[in-house]
This record gives sequence, structure tokens and C-alpha cells, in this order.
Amino acid sequence: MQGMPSHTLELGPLKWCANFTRTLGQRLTRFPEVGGQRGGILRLWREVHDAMTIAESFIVPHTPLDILDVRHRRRDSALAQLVAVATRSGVVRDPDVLLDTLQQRERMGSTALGKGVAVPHAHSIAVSRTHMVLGRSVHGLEWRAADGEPIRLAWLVLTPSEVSDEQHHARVAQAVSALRLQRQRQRLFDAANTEAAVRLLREWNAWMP
Amino acid sequence: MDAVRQMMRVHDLDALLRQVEVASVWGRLGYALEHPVVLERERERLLAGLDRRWTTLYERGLKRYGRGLTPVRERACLGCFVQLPSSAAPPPGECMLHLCDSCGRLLHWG
Repeated sequence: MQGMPSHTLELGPLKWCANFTRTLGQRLTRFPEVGGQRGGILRLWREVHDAMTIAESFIVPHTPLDILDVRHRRRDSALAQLVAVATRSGVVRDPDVLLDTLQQRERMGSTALGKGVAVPHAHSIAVSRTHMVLGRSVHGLEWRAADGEPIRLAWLVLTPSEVSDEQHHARVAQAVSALRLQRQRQRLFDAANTEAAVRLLREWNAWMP
Repeated sequence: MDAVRQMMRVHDLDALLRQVEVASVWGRLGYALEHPVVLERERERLLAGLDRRWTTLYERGLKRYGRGLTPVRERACLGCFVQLPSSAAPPPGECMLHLCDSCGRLLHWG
């Protein structure tokens, strides 16, 4: 992995190497005379490396957490707003299917866990990347919680279908555990932005990007 | 509703039904999962609206691998990770159901 620029780790080392090898192979096929020259392969190697470094510096690092202030009071509207935010982050293949899945999940039993917290979650084919959306509501959401309390924090956990059931469960479990303590819930509620929330989650070992 | 979306909904319902099978595990997190008769009915309704050919293939994949529908990323089936031929890709802008020649799962080109 030596010489691999650090930001390319966003792609993942395997994918980076696969891209690099493929591009180098294409160059060698296209310019066989350069490959035959003394030091030619090394020149092509450097060329491809530099080209990929420049191209990948434009990739925006993906932060798998969004924070928003929920405007709505009702559960379904709030879910739609959370899904809309995830869709804007480019992690949803089909927002209608995802919203339907989340609503079906609520029909199976409320995802409100009490004490003003709900962790709706979907392990869905409509999701392309793992993502989380933390919705905060000052007035509280009507979520049919067992304790009847309005929801102030709704943490949506999205996992793509290719990920195993166990990993999905682990992600939800981390979200739930991060919201167990009152002081942690309050600190998350008061987090100024995504970076601050991610810092808090890292601090509590509840960050699983 | 088109066939692809309908199949995606069936796939997600199956994922939810799998959660009910391990309700005690989810119960430890504080979730109460009730008997999913409503979901089973919805699943049957969706499957009834689909072509028999696709439902048979879906059920076969589900029985064999636990998932009958799998997404495609960069021309690779994410079920078996085999690179698919470019001829298998639907025309740009279209979304159709296909079958993975390698593993037999239905493919979703998203």
C-alpha cells in the first residue's frame, strides 16, 4: 500500500488497487511500445498513480451521519423527512420503497424505545450504503411509544441488504446503547453539527462508519 | 407499481419477517415485535401481482440463500460477487429484473 495517498482510503484499499491495476493494464495494452522501453512500465505506473491521485482528490468523503431538526409532529411525516435527508446524501436507491419498509416496520411494533427516543431502522435493498440520520424535535413527535412520551430524538439506521442481519442488528444496538443515558441523549440533542455528534459517538465507542 | 419495486418490497418484507424469527434478540434492545400477520398478508398480495416466473425464481433464491433478490454494483452481483457480462445490463434509465447466471438470484440494477 506504499505510495497510496491517504484520501484514497475512502475508496477502500482493495478497490483502489483493483482500479489501479485495471488502468495500468489498459495503458499497457494501448501503448505497448512504451511498456517495451527501458523504464517504460515504471513511467506508466507513475502516470497512472498521479492521474488517480488527482481524480480521487475530488471525491467528497462520505460521512454516514446526518443531523436535522424535524419540522413535523407526526411519525409518518417525520420518517418521510428522515428518508428525504438520506436520499439527498445519495444512499437511497428508491425512497418510496424505503419509506414503505419503515412504515411496515412500525406496523410490526413501534420503534419508540421510551424516554423520548425512537430508533427506526431498515435493512433494505432500497439502501445502497450504511447511513444514519439523527432527527431532533423540540416539540416532540407522536410515535406511539409505550410510555406515551413524545419523541425528541429519532435515530434512523439504514443498512443495505447485502450486509448480514447480524451486522444490521449490531448497528442498531450501538445506536440504542448510545441513547441509553439521559446525559448522552442531551449532549446529542445539543450537538451543534454532524462533526460534533460524530465526536461524541466516537467518545462513547458508538461510532461504526 | 412496477415489478421491480414490487419485488423490492417483497424482499424488504422478508427481511422484516426474519427479524420476527429472532424477536427475542431484538427484544433485548427494547423492541416489541408482534405477530406479523399483516405483513404476511401484504407479502402474499404483492407476490400475487407479480409474474409467476419471477416469483418462482425469487422463492427459489430465498430458500437456497436466504435472499432472493440482490443488488448489482459496478456490474458485480452482490450475492455471489461474480462480474456480470455487459450484455446483461438493462438499457440506461431502465430498471428491469434479471437473473444472475452464476447464483440464480434475481438481480436489481439500481
